[in-house]
Amino acid sequence: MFNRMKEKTIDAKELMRMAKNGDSEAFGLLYNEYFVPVFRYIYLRLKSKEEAEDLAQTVFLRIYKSLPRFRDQGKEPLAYFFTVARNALIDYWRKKKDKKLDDDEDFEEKNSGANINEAERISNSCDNAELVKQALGELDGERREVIILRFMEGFSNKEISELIGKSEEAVRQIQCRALKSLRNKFKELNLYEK
Amino acid sequence: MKNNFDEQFERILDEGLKLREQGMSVSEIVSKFPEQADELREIFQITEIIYKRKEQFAPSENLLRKILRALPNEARAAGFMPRVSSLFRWPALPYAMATVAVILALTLGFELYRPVVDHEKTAIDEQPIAKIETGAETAATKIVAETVDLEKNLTALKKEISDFDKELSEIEKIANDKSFDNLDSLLSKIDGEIM
Repeated sequence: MFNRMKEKTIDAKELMRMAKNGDSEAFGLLYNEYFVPVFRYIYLRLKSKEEAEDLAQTVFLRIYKSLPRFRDQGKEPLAYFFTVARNALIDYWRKKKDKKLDDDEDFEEKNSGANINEAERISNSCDNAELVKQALGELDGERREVIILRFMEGFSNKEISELIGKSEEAVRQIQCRALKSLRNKFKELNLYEK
Repeated sequence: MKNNFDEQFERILDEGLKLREQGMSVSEIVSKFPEQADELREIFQITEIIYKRKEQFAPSENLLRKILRALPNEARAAGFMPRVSSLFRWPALPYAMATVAVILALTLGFELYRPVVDHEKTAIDEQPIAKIETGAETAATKIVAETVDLEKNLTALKKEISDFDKELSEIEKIANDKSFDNLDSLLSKIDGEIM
């Protein structure tokens, strides 16, 4: 269901090799394939779409400029794109008054006023995507990141462990705790489908 | 501090997610772990909702194009120059270049070959026309000559006819002259006049 490998349609490694050799068209194809997942990852870790768009532009420019230095280490290029995005997020938060990766105080403050009635009103207007974003926003940065990478972008536990620099066992634990936390939040926001 | 229940549930959940990824249905997985059935059903529903909603977190199409257009300019400004310029991004360019080379070769070859072709064309064209002209002239000359001959012959013939008419008139005079006694005398007289 959430296995990204089954959705793979392009030979990304070959395109990356061509893009590294200066083939702008190959980079364009990679961009078309990866822009949405990378943007989504950034957007769900920031407050606003505008901030996410600005940062996404920065991320892709960094990737483009770093292509000559890219070394194929046997991983999918998407992992490289996400690594650059992750590092860009870290830099972004550091610039915003030295915030840590898992410190989303601003985000939580923005959503702390929401009550169940408000949640019901929003759910009645069928804006469940925003509620899902809100529910994810209630998680700490690390758990939110694992949930997004695992269940939205289809990374395996092994790939996630390489991306965030933790063991697979640690990733599994983070994942389970995040899902248990989301159970209560989804109930509260009436997100379970009937 | 993690308790055994948490550890056990984490192991079951992990196992359940693996089985789900392998394609097993939720009901089949839940039947394997009946004591955690409710929690597992809710968690699988959460993962499905998250997966389904992901498309609603996409960027705008305009942003996609805006960033792609801006990339080469910014990259060049930053000193990163792609080795292949936009001109050569056309995937069919090698074939186009080969085609152009062939066309150039054909054009140059034709230009070099044209004088030979033109000369041959002129020479070839001249031969039949020359022959025809010569032949025509010859024929015309012959016809003229024959006409002249015919005219001469005609003139001669007319003269002979005229002479014969004169002789015939003499013969008629003689024939009308009744002084001759018989036909033999008449014939002798005609012979004499003609000779």
